[in-house]
Amino acid sequence: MAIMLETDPAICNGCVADSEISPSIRRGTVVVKNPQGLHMRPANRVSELARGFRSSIVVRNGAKSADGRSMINLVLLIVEPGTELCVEAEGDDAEAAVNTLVEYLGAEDWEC
Amino acid sequence: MRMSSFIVRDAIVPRLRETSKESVLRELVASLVTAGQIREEEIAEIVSGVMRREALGSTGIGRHIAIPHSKHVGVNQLIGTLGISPIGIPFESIDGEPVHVLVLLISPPNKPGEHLRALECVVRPMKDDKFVDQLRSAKTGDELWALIDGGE
Repeated sequence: MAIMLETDPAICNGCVADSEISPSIRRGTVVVKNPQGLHMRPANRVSELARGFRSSIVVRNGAKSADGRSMINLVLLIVEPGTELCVEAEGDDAEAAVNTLVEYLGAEDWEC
Repeated sequence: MRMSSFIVRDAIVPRLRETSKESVLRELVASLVTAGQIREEEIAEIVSGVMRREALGSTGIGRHIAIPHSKHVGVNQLIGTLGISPIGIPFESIDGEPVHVLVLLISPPNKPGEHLRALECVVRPMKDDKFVDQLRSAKTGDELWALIDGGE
């Protein structure tokens, strides 16, 4: 699984370009491989994982974005298998937050 | 896409009678039998599938709403029904509140995109408290149908 952390929004699909990126922002992209897509149960798990961090977390699917702590908003992203998501976190544990969510979202088997 | 794209109009239950999670799910599944969408002998298997899914984590999403669901080989396309419980059903929801608005979804296996779009279609209007209140206040299936057919 490729976990990409970077600060250039131009190469992060779905991330809004912003010329003044805070140094505390971390971003990563991930392709969803689970054959069922991001349905309610894994969306709930993502929101639980996100609540474990102090950073604010946004998950983007193209132009749509969701608060990573909100299972409802994550479901509204309609994440089908093969979708590339951008995970963006801002805060003192942003890097760990992005790594954790990217790892979970990219797993083929969402046991939770 | 609206909820009316997959909710079976004749299966809508404006006043659910049952009071427990499993019995109300059976009542909703039975409404799909009455509406001619599934066979009576499939009720037990579908209810069992929905309850297995609930055991993995409640589909009570808070604010008195639940979206119980399951896959079933007996349906060729995603179907659903809507039921309103006047008294509220204990559902182990994320906010601990009883559930008054239930949307049951039955989808065919191997059509995850259809299921995801239907979920979005249910969740989106439910973010509006006024819409949820209107559903809870509706007295008839026709009123409920008008609400889910007339939204965004």
